[in-house]
Amino acid sequence: MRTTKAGESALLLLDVVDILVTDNIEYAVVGALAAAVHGAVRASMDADALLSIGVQEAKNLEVGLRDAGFLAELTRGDFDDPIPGLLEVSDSFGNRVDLLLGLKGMDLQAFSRTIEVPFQGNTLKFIGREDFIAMKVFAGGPMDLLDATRAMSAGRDSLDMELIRRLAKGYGRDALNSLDQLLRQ
Amino acid sequence: MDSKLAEAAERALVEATQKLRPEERLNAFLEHCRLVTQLFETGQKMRDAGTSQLKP
Repeated sequence: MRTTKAGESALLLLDVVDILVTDNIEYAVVGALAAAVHGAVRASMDADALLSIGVQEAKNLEVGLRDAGFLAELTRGDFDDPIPGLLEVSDSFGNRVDLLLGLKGMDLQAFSRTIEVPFQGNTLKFIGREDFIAMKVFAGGPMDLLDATRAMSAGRDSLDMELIRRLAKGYGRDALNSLDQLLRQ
Repeated sequence: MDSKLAEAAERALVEATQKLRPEERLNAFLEHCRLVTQLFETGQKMRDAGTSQLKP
C-alpha cells in the first residue's frame, strides 16, 4: 500500500487502480481529482472513480479489495437513485476512494474517451473533459456548476460542444437546460 | 441530481475528516492539496500540448 497518513486518498486510488487493472475492469477517475485535471481545483479530500461493472462483479471486487487489505463496503442504490451502487474503499488513515457503479444517463463510450494522466510514476485514466462537464451539469449543485464552468473556461476552443450537448441530453432535460444556462453566461 | 448514495458518501467523508485532530486535519489537507496540485499542473500541461495522453 502506498498510503502512510491521512490526506493521501489520491495514493489510495493508485492502489485501487492496480487491482482494477489486474481484474480488467474499466474505470474513469471523476470527482475532485478529475476537476483538478480539467482546471478546477477544489478541496474535497476523497477520490472518486466510475466503473464499468455491475453489482455482481462489484461484489467480487469487494472481496478482492478486502483480501488485499483494504476496508471495502458495497452499497446498492435505491431504484430511483441515479447511482446504482457504490463501493467504498478506505484505509486505516481515513483515506477514501468511492467507486461508482455507473451513473444513469451516462454514455458508456465515456470509458473510451478517458485521458491518460501521469501521476506519481503511474498513469491514471480520467474522465474526458466533455464527459466531465456533462456529468457536472447533471449533478447540478452550485459547486458542480462551478466545476463545469471552470473546466469550460480552461480551454473552450478545444472543447467539442456538440459532444457536450449530446452527453448532457443523455442525462435529461434539466441537465441540458443547465448547460445552456452556463453557455449563456 | 438527487442521490441518497452520494449524500451518504459525502456525510461519511465529513465524519472521517472530523475524527482527525485539528493539526492532523490541516496536515491531511495540505498533503491532499499537494497531490491535487500535481494533477492540476499535469492537466494544464496536457491542455497546452493539446494531447490526451502523456507518459509518466
